[in-house]
Amino acid sequence: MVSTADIASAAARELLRQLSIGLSVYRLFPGEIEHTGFVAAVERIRDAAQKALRSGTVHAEIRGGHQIVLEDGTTLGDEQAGRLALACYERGVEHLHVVGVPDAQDLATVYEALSQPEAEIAVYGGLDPALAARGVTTLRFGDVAPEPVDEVARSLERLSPEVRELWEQMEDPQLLAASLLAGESSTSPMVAARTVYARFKAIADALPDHLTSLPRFAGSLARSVRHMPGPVRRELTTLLIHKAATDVLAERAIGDLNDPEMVDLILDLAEEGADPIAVAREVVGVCARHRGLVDLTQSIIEARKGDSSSHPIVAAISLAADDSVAQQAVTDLATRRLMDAEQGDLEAIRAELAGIDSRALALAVFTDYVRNEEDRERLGQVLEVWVDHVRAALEAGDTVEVAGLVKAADDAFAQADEELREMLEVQRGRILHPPLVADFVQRSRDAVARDHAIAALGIFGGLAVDTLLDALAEEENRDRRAVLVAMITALADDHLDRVEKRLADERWYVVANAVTILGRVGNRPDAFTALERVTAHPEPGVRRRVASTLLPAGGRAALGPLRGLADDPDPGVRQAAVAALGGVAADEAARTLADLVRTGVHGDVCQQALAELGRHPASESAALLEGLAARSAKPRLPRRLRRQAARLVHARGTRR
Amino acid sequence: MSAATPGPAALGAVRALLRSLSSARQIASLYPAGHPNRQEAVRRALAAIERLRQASSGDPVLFVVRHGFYLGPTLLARESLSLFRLAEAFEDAGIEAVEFLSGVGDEDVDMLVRALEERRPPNGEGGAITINRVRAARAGAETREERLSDLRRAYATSLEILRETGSRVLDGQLIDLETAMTVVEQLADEVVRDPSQALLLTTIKSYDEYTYHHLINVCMLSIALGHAIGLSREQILLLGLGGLLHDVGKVALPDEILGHVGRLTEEQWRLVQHHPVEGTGLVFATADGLFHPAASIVLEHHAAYDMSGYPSLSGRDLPSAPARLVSVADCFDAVTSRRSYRAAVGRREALAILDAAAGTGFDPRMVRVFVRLLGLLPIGSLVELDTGEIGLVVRHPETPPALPTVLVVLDANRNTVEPEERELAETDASGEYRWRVVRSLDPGELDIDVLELLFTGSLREPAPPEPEPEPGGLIHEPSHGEPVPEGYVDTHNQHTNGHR
Repeated sequence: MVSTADIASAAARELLRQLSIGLSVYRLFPGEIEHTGFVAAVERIRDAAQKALRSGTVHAEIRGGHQIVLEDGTTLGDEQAGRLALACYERGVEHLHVVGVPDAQDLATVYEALSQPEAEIAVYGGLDPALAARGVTTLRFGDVAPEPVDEVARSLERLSPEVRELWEQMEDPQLLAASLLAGESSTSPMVAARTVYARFKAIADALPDHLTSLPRFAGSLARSVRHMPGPVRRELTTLLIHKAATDVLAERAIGDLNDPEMVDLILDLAEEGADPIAVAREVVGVCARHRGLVDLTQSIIEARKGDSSSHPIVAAISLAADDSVAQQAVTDLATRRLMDAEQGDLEAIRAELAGIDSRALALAVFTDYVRNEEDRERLGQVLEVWVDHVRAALEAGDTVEVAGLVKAADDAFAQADEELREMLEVQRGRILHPPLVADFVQRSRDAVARDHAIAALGIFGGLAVDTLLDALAEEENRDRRAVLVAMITALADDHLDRVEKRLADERWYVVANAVTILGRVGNRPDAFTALERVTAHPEPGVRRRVASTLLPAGGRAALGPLRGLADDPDPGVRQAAVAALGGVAADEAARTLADLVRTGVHGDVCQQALAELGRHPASESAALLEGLAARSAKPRLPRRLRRQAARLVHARGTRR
Repeated sequence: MSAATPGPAALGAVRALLRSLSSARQIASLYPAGHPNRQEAVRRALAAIERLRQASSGDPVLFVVRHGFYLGPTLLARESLSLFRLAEAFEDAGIEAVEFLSGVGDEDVDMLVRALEERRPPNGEGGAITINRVRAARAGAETREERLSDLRRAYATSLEILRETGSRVLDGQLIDLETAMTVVEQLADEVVRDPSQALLLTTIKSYDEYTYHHLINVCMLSIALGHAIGLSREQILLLGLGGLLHDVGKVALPDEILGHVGRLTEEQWRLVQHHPVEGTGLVFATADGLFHPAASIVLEHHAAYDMSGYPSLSGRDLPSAPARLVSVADCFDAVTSRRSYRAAVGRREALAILDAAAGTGFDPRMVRVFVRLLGLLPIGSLVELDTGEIGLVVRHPETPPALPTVLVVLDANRNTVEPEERELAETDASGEYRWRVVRSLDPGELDIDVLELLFTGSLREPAPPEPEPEPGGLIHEPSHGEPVPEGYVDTHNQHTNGHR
């Protein structure tokens, strides 16, 4: 049997249901209180109110924006009074009291207030004062209760410092990512991703349930993913998606992301080759987010604003809804995204190609080729081409190019075996062939051109010296010989050994050329030593050249050898030697000349030595001459020489 | 005179005839009249003529128009491409039509061969071979064939020049870089003018002249890639030249390796893997080749993005950018070719192979750009539509990833149909796509001659089986990302396939 309470409860439920329906009708025809739909609604509310009020005032509590609970605990859900509950909740109403039967005006006033923005109601201090001000007394509305205590804050206070620190990491995705990856050194992204997930689960286990059940907890993992290295990030995303169907934490991690965040993760996978549609469908399947994503897609389509912040994958997901309009959106948005990515690739490739140092690359390729080539015949062919290139650069006076080509070959053959290096040397020797040298000599009559030529030939070091010495050996033209000598002299400084070798040549004129060069390279002990060795050369022409070159090469050290050459059987050699001695300013040279006058084997030497002594600048020269002129000198000189010495003493005195 | 469309037997016979005429022309240039070799060549051509007459319903007529050979109204696509010099000789001699009447004798054939060899009109009457008595009907010539004419000519010229290059190399001579560059310039002009058609042309493969076709294809793909990237002409030509020469080192490989079927020995693999160095030597040894930037492509196209390939490169972290670009094109063309150890893969699958090796064998950026160039349904792919029809992907739209254009050539029952283009992006009244691609197909699976299709725009009954040369034992060594053949030895890294 139905109790009175049940009847009262049923009447109250019906009243609240009719009030909710009345609100919907009013919103359909706002302000039109005479509209037949609203008039009918008002009548239904009036009947229901009369029945319900028979048991007294109707009290109800609004809960969470979608439920109305009567005093006896009876709950009216979404489908019964959801609209009324939400309208009240949004305006800060927690309690509803029906104290009288409302008429059309009352209801219109209430519904109008429940349709107004919350801020406008707040001006009156809430819904109840606003309605009271408008004369509504049949319906009363109570405020929402004060905010409850922050359970999260309170529970955190009870946590240990370690656990609290873990919780605080949840607030900072970047920090969380770093913490989850700390010490992870696996080279496998998959292993790293599993480690990260296991660590996160461990954190979840350490935290109390009421914290891990908060939406922001699981979402924090997914948000931290974007701060991880690409390969780990993608593996972890894949892992979360795969686990979402069976693992609550993974499901919530994915499911608590908002659409753009989720799209970012899917897009990340897609850009590494995953099929975005397949991934999106998987996400939709496991996370029950289908409806939200489609809504988002639809809003993109409707807006048609080409919002660049919207991702094509959002649209792609809506393919699951078989929406042809959405497919067009997919195409448009995916195109834009692809083109952006492609543009990045193209620009990077263009920049790389434009930045190639062709010369450096070519030389590197040449080196690698030489290192790998096993066919000696082919390598010989290549080297012949290399020779032609070097010659062309030499002819063009392009010293930089010549240096580059030679260095390329040197580098390429640096690690080669002896046979290969020998091959290079042979080819290198072919570069400076006679026509090229002749051309260089011809051009090098001009001093500037000669400097260029010397710089270019200097790249070949001793080889250039050898080549030029060979050319000098065959050259008869005096001018060209002079150019050659000058060039060799300039190049020989670091390659005296090449010149010295020529001292052993069977051709006396080749030896003479070498002697000339050694004499010109300056005061070098090694050059002097080499020259000393040829003072006894059988060819007088060589000894004459030595006599002329000993002094510049050896300075004072040349006095001894020159003294010896002054007694040479060849008059020309003797003459050259005495003349050279006269060129030495030191007192020691003067004494040597005086000695020659006294002890010289050959009369011509005595005469010439005396003449040289007469001109000699040394301080002792005058005294030596006087001694030679003296009749008491021992051994006493022949009268002719004494008289000549006296004249020279006189002449020096006159000059003084 | 036979105006009817020739049957498969006649087509097979005329192909044999053209090859024998080409051979006879070359022999005539080497030996004097009356030489036994010349007589033998003439006899072979005569035998081919007799076969052609037997297979034809009337007196067969061979036309030579715009460098193309036609038997009656039918274009002989492959011969037009591969026997370019013979076509030139016909045209230089002023021969546009050759009618083979009954009773053709040695003298008639010799007259024709001499005219071709001397490149001037034949002396006197040809007896049973009449010259230019009939004319080709030019009206209504295939527009597709015309459209492809310049491109085909460039391709054919390239083929001839590569053959000559190959002969020179085998004779111990050097390659001619200047001529090679001229080829590349011609190809570049054509590719840039119509990249889609050029990409279609790269579907041409040849079993017996694999290397030459491969070189041209890689050259064209590289040029197209450079063009798509937006490189300068100079950079594009460099890529093209590198593509054209990248495998020139293989030309000198011994016949016993090139013709080898089955497992190669370790030493044979070593020689194969030496080809980048051999090719670089050939480039370097030419007057203009030393330090030529294209040499980096020749040397490094197998070096691999992660430097795991061969030869080893010193002092560098990566192969050069041009080499990385060309290596992508190289792999794509290689894997879409038939090899002794496996069938050709489809063009779409080839892109998947590239994608799988991105980051190891290939530069991922360059793979992405290449995939973008060819599209997910690459030009030249054969596809089956949801209607059951078979078509060839012939064009991509300017804006990706919109759908391509497919030339339908077979109906759902695999019968040839009048080719018709289908824009896959086209939708019906309800906004649904009218056609969808169900799957990609292998041309071999359907016995479709893509070359024929490209040049004529249609298919005809396949010719009777000819004595087709055996596929070369070594067509191409395995590319990154694809399975290695049995017995493969990476002699460069001293690894066998069991240890890779």
